[in-house]
Amino acid sequence: MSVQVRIPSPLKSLTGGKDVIQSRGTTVGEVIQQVISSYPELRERLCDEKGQVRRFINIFLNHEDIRSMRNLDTPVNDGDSLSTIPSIAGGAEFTPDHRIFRHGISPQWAELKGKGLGEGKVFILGAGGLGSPAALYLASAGIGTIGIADSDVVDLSNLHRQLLHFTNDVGREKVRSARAKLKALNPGVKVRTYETRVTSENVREIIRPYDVIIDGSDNFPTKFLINDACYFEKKPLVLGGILKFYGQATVFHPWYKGPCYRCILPDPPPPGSVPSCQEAGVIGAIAGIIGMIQAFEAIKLLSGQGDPLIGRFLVFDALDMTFSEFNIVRNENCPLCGKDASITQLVDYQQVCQA
Amino acid sequence: MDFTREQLERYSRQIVLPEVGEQDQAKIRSGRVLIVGGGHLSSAATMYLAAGGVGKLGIVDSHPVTHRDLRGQILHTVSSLGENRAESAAKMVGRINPDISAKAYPIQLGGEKTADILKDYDLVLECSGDFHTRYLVNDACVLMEKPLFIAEMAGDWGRAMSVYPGQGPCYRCVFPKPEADGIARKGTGDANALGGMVGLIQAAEIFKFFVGKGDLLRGEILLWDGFRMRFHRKRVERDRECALCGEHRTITRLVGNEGSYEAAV
Repeated sequence: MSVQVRIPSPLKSLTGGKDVIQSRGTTVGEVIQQVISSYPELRERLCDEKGQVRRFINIFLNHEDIRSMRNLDTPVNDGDSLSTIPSIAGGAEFTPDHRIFRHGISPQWAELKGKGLGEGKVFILGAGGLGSPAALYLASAGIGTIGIADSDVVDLSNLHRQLLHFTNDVGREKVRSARAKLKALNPGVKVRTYETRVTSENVREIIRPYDVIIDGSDNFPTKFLINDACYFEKKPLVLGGILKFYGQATVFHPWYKGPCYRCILPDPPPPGSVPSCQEAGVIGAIAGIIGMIQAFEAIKLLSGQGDPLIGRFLVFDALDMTFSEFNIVRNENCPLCGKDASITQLVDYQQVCQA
Repeated sequence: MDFTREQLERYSRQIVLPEVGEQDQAKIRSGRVLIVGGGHLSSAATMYLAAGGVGKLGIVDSHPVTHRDLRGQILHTVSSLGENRAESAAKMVGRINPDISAKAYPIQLGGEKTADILKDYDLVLECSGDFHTRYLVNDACVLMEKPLFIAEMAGDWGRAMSVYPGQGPCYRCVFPKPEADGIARKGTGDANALGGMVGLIQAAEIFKFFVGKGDLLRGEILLWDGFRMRFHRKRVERDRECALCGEHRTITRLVGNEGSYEAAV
């Protein structure tokens, strides 16, 4: 059987720049073995020392997780496509243990009885590459209240992608710079700023007054913290991630339906499995596209209109300008929202290293 | 390449990419983009093109900034109310990145004037939201062999199409008449708060074009359904009967103040 194996752009350096590899085999396992024999550098990413496919590698056959079928023994047909989807935080990259099941009935979204935009309150974690476009567009759309948390000051290297900050803001607190821009755009918007690191101590209290939470963070510990806090506070979370030319977005709202972050990635990647914590660079417009998608998802959640990205994992690859969608559903063994949940309070994860 | 230390720092997160070295940043810097339309379709695109270091940006718009514009047009602020949108946009570009040369054209494009302006640019980002202007710019770009990146929006639907003259279909090949298609006819439709999405996708395409990396949208249009948050791509072909780039051309020059659309039909 001839199968297309799709390589996401963060891994393309290992396949000589190819994003689609033609491979052959009768099962997923055979196809993967053939790919690895042609591209030995992929072996380390996909397999452990014993040659077994890594626990954190997720493989989709035609957009469904092979684990919801017969795993590596799943038979393939001519023309099928296999994908691997790395999870990204901003500087780091990682391939998570996805649990993908068939998507259920599409949500009757109006059940949430959304508020009007003018009464809506959106909290944005981070005034950086994702938070900037999200905040600007939410302010211009007429959202009632925007909360924004960031403990950093503006650096010259931020400016190519963080459009809340201009050249003469270098050295200024990001949240102050953000407030000025949002007020200039829409004096009617209420802006609440939190010039602090968001931690397990303060996060639940900070997000409690808000209707929708947007994740604009760039590291795994913060993404897990905000995911858990949103679960405990029953808030919908609009997740985003960018790396190089690559972006991802989805909405978690497990109290309504669909998975949480831990359903698809139970724990932050262990230290050492993440190639680098150095900020890996990104094209500013890619951050803009993902941040804007996050703003639009927040608006949809508030207005109760449209079909939000709940249970839908959107993957954007700007190099070939493709948007792909993978179905994600709740993992009943999820340590946070599963039936025998082991996580009952917020966990502080060590930053694997400082960004 | 003579980037200053400050410039290297400003673009450092871009230059660190394996696809974008210092040489590529220099290519971006020598890029000259004419942006037609200073409204919501072009707002985010203009800001990211400036922030990313595209050396010269021209902005064409004959309208003033109104209260209604501030909804969805992050390029303008309340202090620019009443000011021409092209001029307001050029000022914003200066605040974002002083390295960029920004030129405002506070006029309605038409006829030969279009060619006069276009000759100073490498390519055009068409965000006018007006079908007369879109056909005019398409004609001008094909006649002058300049790549054209079109962003359109109607209601919740957005569309991106790029025209590489001589190498694939032009806008007229696919949409010979505006009546043939809702988006082509209505242009921007209602001012959608997030109309900038498609323009921004085209801005990403323009960066790829300048650095020569990745696969550009050639011979395909990208459709965006905002409310479902779904993206579709559709193949489009060159039309041998196209009045502009087909075998029996009837449009050979730019005429009229409202664009050449009337002249062609």
